[in-house]
Amino acid sequence: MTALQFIFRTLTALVAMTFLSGCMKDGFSGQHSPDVFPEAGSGLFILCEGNYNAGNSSLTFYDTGEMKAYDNVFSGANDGQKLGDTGQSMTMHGGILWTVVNASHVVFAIDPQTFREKGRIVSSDMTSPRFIHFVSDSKAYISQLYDSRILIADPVTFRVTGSIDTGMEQGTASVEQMVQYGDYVLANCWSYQKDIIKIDSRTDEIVQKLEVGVQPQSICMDSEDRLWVLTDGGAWPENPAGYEAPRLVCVDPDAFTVEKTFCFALGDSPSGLQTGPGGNELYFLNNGKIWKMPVSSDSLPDSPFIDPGDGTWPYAMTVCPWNSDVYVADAIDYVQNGAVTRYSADGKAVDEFRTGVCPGSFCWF
Amino acid sequence: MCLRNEIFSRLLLLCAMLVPMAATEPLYASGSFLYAGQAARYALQDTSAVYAGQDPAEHERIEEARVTAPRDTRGIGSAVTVFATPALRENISVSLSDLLAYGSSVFVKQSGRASLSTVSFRGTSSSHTQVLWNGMKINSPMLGMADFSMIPSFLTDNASLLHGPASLAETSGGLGGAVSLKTGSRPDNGWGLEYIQGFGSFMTLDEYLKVSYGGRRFSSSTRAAVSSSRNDFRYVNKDKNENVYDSQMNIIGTYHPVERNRNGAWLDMHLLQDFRYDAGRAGSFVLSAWYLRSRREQPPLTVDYGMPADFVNEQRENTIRSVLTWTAPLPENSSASVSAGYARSALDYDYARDGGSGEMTWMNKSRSRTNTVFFRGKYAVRLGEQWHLRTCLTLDRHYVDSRDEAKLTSGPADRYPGYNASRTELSLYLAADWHPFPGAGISLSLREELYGRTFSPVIPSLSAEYLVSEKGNLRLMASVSRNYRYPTLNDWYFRPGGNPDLKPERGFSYDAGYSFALTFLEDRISLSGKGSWFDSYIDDWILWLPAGSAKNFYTPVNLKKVHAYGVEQSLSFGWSFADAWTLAADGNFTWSPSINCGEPMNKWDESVGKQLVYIPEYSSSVTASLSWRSWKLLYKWCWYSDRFTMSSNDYTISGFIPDYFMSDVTLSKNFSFTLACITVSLVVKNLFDEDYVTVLSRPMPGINFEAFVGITPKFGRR
Repeated sequence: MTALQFIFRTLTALVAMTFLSGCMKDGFSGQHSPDVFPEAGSGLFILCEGNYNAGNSSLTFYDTGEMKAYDNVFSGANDGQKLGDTGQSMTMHGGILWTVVNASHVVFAIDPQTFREKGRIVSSDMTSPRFIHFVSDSKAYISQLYDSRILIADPVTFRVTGSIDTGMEQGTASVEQMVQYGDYVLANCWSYQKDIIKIDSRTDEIVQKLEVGVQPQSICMDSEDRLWVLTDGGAWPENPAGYEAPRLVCVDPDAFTVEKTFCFALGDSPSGLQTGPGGNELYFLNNGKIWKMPVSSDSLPDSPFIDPGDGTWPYAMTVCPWNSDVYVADAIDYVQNGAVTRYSADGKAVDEFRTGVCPGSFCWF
Repeated sequence: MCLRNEIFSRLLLLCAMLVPMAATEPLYASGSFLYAGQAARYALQDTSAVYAGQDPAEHERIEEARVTAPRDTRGIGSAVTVFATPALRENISVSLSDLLAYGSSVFVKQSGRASLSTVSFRGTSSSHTQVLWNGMKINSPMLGMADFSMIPSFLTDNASLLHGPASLAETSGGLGGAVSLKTGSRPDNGWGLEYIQGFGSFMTLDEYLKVSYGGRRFSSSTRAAVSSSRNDFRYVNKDKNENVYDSQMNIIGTYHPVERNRNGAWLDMHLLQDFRYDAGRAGSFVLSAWYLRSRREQPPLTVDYGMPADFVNEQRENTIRSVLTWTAPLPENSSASVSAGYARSALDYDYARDGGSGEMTWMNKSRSRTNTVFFRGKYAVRLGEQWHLRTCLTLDRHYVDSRDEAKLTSGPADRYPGYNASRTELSLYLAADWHPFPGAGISLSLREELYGRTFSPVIPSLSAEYLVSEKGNLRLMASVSRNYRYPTLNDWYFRPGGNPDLKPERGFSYDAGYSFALTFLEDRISLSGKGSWFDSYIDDWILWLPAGSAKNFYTPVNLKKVHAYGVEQSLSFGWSFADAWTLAADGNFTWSPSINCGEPMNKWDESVGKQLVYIPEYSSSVTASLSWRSWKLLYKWCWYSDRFTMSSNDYTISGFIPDYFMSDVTLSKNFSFTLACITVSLVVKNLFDEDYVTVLSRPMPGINFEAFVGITPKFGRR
């Protein structure tokens, strides 16, 4: 074989390799628009956080009537667009599912029936969005981690129009959940904080602060318009904000004072405080179990309402506003699709289904 | 035949053997290593550190070629891949991770250009790869891994991959293997100077300068490398839709936007100084010092809607490493050396939003300072023709101060999240090699370690090899070993989440393999290969899982059991098929199932029996070069099979990284003038403009280019 022949054959091989390279897959081709058209009153959205810095957050829809779950409905309905990095929370308002995607610095407005995006709130002032709360159809608050400002957004134009300065130190500032009480918005300040705050939604100013314990993790209003606050006590012994036994605190929202306090054991890790449909019962997670107590109770419950057992460790939960069914999410090893077990109002498992990675929050439709 | 012609013909023959190695990177070891004075037939394809002139194809330069063959005593039956100096000199923009990706069977996980690159062997994780620089472990004592993108291949004289049990000859903890890097090679006699300038796409600039002096007793080599890039390549972002709204803010259209990789610039600087001094009867001294200064921005994910200009997201590193080695002047049947070293690393990571007017909202302001003191003593002795004994004592003392200053900036320093800790790591290694008859060898080694105040169980390793046929140097080998990897300082002490009750990861590995080396047609064709089957079990695999009421921090736990097994196969081919024409090719193929075989966490757990995340089951690479006189065309190709991002191995939109082929090509030409050699080369990366990612949501560039011009004055070596 001459040198020229050899060169020719080599080039032929390279062309073949080129062809081979051209045959590589072009991404994931199995993403289709979900085959469901939800109707209000029978749907549950599950926001799956995914893993931080991986951008694999996703949205699962569960039809409570058909008892069927649909994964990745957002990507499927939006030409493969991904939901983003670390989906944090959802709020249904004005027939739109508002989805806060924390590390993607975006709030998506999603049509809950088609799962298609209707718009998005992005802003150069958005540092680390956590929750969105609607004061009215034309004004919403977006709470943030690290940033001392609560953003004010116009959900019609998808624009951030202003902010509320919380006065906290930048970097350790934290405002989480928000609930409406008349003209006021009550919010808990969680990471490295100890307070809850009261915002006058007419003036967009903080009018009161109340220290309730180390790291108020979640809040809810009961049927008697009292604010309940669950603290996590700092979660780790060397926490610069402090370390103490977690607390369940009842607050009078008018006087903005503590009415009563229940203390957990030091080292407990309660989370996910919420009320049942009538607002007469409190639900929360603690030490891998689901707990329930009347709002009139004088003590924390002695025994759990649901003990999932079998290695299941609840990551998040929700209570159905229509029939009190309890839905408990398990993130398993945090790098595979999570699972949700549906329990009836009396605590019996009635269904179970898979979700995306790290199912972390719920929203009813 | 006159002496000159004889030398010339011998060197030509040598070049025919070396050029494939030089052109196609890895110089594969047979897996057997020799002690001083052993029969030459053992070393037909030894781990020789090869030095050749910059232009091996030019006859004028061949006279300057010099080959040295240091005795490598890493043990019998070891699976070792060696990259000698020429392989490390492809171009100055090549980091060690690039080199390994294209030229070895290990898996290199790269997060992007000049971003974190880690290496894993045989289906294990990156923290199971131990990295040694002149004998000193350079894995981060906090994280347990090393960033190979921070190691320019030009600053390394010799790199060895120690697969599986072979790593125990150097260090423990390499459940997958170890990478041993060496500098301090003796430069050419007299003064030497080399300068290379690279210009590439995305405003990429690479500069390299080497000044060397080689005297009778004293030699010095100073190398500096600077790399910078704006790295703002364009890509179609298929993870996003750009919405088109009407006046009522209704979406009337969408498309995937073309975006730039913003905030991805880097500036890396390296300075490496080697001194050698031969003190005659007092032995020889080698001092190597390596200073690294790096500033790298971290580009946003493809799914980030924040404005990159509003965010500061960058990592800075200042590291200095130095090792002084004294080699004792002992009789030929023994050797001894003592090394002492010191390393200091300052690693800063800032993630903040710039609110304008200098007001920063810090989300992370991590400050980590590590200091390591290193000491090692080695001794080896040959007793007769059959026995070779080795021992090594290594001491590492780490001091770590790590904290996140973004939290409670007004608080006392000791209240910052983070930790301040130190740990002593002491390791004693004893090995005995026995050659019952020529061509056969058995090696037994024991290692005992002290981590903090905890003694490890004795770590044994047994290996053997047998020369089946001298014709073709066909050799069979096998090894079996235990191994342990102790938790890192972060695993034990990090606040929040550190777990002082963590147990070490335990590994049990065995492998068996072969190697051969043949030549045909009067040595104009060379063919060599090696392959091995490996099998390992790792218990108490450490995983970091979310903890706390809001799962807002992570804690490490001993959770998984992993069974990693498979096959590594390499083949090298060289052919001098016509006058001044040389073809060389190297291929690697790895099949490495790495299976979670622990107990399911609960009934939902679908990870058991599945491949570990981000570990490819199949991978392959090929490098081929065609040389004609002073021209050289180099083609590099690699392929990784689908990699799962979910432990359940689901094929969902974010559940896997699609497989991809990557091709680079380099055309280079050497010009030899009276006063200097000038080398010009053009590199085309991602030749076929593949749209690919290596890590979820991290964009990678399409086709891109870099040109290099190098000048090497001859300084009287005309």
